Amino acid sequence: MHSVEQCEMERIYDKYHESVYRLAFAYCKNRADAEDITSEVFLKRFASRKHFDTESYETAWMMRVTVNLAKDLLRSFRYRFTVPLEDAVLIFESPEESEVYRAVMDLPAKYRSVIHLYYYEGYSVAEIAEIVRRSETAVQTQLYRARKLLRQTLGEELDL
Amino acid sequence: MKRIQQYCNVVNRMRHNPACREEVLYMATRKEIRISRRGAAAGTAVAAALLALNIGGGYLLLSGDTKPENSMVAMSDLAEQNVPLYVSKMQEYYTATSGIPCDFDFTGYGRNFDYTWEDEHYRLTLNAVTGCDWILYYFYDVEPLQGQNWEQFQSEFPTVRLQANMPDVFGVDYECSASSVTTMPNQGPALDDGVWHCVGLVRNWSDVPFSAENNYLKIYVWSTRSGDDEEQIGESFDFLTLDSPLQETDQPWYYNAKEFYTGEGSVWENDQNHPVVELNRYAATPFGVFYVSQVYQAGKAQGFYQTGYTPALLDMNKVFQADFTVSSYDGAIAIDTFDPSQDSYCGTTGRNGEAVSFIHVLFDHPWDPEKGALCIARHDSTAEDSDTAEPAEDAEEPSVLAEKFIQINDPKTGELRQLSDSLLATLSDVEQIALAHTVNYWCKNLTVYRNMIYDDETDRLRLQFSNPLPTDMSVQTDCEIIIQVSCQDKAIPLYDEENGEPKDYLQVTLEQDTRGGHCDIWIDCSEIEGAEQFEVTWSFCPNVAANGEQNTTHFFWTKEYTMTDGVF
Repeated sequence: MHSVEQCEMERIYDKYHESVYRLAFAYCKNRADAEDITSEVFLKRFASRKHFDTESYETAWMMRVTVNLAKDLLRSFRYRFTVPLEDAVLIFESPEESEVYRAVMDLPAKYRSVIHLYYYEGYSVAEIAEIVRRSETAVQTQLYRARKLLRQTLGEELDL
Repeated sequence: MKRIQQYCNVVNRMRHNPACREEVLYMATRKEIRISRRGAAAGTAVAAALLALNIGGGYLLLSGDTKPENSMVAMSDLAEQNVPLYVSKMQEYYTATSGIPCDFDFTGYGRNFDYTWEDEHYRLTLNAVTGCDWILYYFYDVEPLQGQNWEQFQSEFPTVRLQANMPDVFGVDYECSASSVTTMPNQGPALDDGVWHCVGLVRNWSDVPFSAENNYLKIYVWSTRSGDDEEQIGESFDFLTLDSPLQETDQPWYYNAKEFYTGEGSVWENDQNHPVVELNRYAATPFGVFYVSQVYQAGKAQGFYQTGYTPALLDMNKVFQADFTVSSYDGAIAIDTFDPSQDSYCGTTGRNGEAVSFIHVLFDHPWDPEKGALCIARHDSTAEDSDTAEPAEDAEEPSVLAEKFIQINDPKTGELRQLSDSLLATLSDVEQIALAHTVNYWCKNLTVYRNMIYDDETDRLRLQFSNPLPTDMSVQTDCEIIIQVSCQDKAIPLYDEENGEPKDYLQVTLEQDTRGGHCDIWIDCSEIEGAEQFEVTWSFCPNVAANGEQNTTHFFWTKEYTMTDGVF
């Protein structure tokens, strides 16, 4: 019944699972929910009949679905309250790393997601706009505000 | 030196659980199992024979913190069964109830159990629980150990009780439970394989779903033979869904009440001086339609109302179309399993001085959201007590029909499938009109989600529109609308970008993706300063089958009451 064959499923999974998981974690800040979201993303992908002409389209699709599912989760009852960062799964090699990482994760979800997509995944503003379904101007504004907040937290010497 | 690269370094070290790979591939292949890790995150053993069904963009889970202790064990156990027991039990129940063979795939709507309890007289085995956020069916067997007959069985009341504990409903600890000896509809006094097959059902008489945070379920066993105390078997377990919440109707919808005991409250009347009830939220699942009505100003403080009135049942039409097969259509036939004379199907309670009723309309046959559409229709706005009446075949004035429709669901494709000409010809005028309204309502419902966020940095309000209908990932159903805003009869300039040029109106497309597209518009708060509300008028562009019908939303606002974060 599935549109994607087994070997293709494995290829897709191996190619994207870390990126999807890390983006999901950037939203929900804990492993369990990030894993659930990741699984859901792949189940949707495998159930989909969608054909992607290029790899970049497929990547964007995966990221967009991840964002949508993560937003759904954030709207849920449980997430009306602050969910602390589950840092047991994180490895820091220096106090600065910990400080920077926590500062990013303390940002509002919309800001930390664009920070993650821009700096970690390396997407352009236009690509992020496509993924999060916002205008490029809105993404630029979010990046600007996110950087501003990070500098407020970490100091003006923060190298972005 | 602090650098954003340090964030990337930490993320790079983050590793996705390798076990997930096999699980996901297994799930995708078998289309059966869904594992939730939230229990594990809380430090408990995950128990999760969790069966998932992609429906409406969400999935439904039953999870427990009991056995099986290992999720992979659960997977293999279940994988050995071609059809989970909870699926076959539910199919058997519906088949016996309606007389119509039921092959609906309930996969994902339940969980198998093997909880057993016994004393010297009876052995009880809970086999399965199936249901949704608003009703649960549970199936258990009772085996007489001392040759008891049917009459003894009835009188000694050996039973399984399923109890939902809902700590935060109505601000009190609330319980939904059921406990009765009811055998399966196809089970008579005779034993079947040495047991009586029983079924119980628990209704959720609140507007908080079973799946809400902190809710949990317990299973108790009791028999008159075993004394006064119930005994819990197994451990408490969660019922989780990420779907089927009660949804707000597009606008309050008034319908007739069958009876109305005013008590100390006042009655709302329609323009024919008939008492009316306001329907404002509903949910539809394969098991039934569940809706919430605010019925009258009771003038009481928080408390429970157990008596009051029996609201009119909405006439239900169902449109089944399996692969466009005409013969499967039985539209405009009222679903007849609900007897409005039994007010046990209606719960009434008070909240903040207002009485609220919770109505369950149970189907005698599961409704498949992926194969058909369902609508609630009121056929005759002037009828007093015709709450279950079928639409009048000889109605002369189409306008009396269906002035309000609620299209509960679109098919999975995101489109309302059109009936064939030959099928349309078989419908009465009444039915055809009903169907047309159904289509329109479905379109109207496209932009039912609206939200408002205040940005104190720019002193602007951001109005968010979204297209919420879940759909198949491969199908795009975009919705194009025109938006205007006014306040105290004055047009308010709009911005489609945070730093864009002001415009008199905006034409935007809400794209349909996994959760619906969004659009944001901004207005300056200085334009509405001092006004308690402003109006947002939006209409579909002509290419949408709502014929440009306008819809107006009144946004009541203060800066304090708007959200400040972007999640909505």
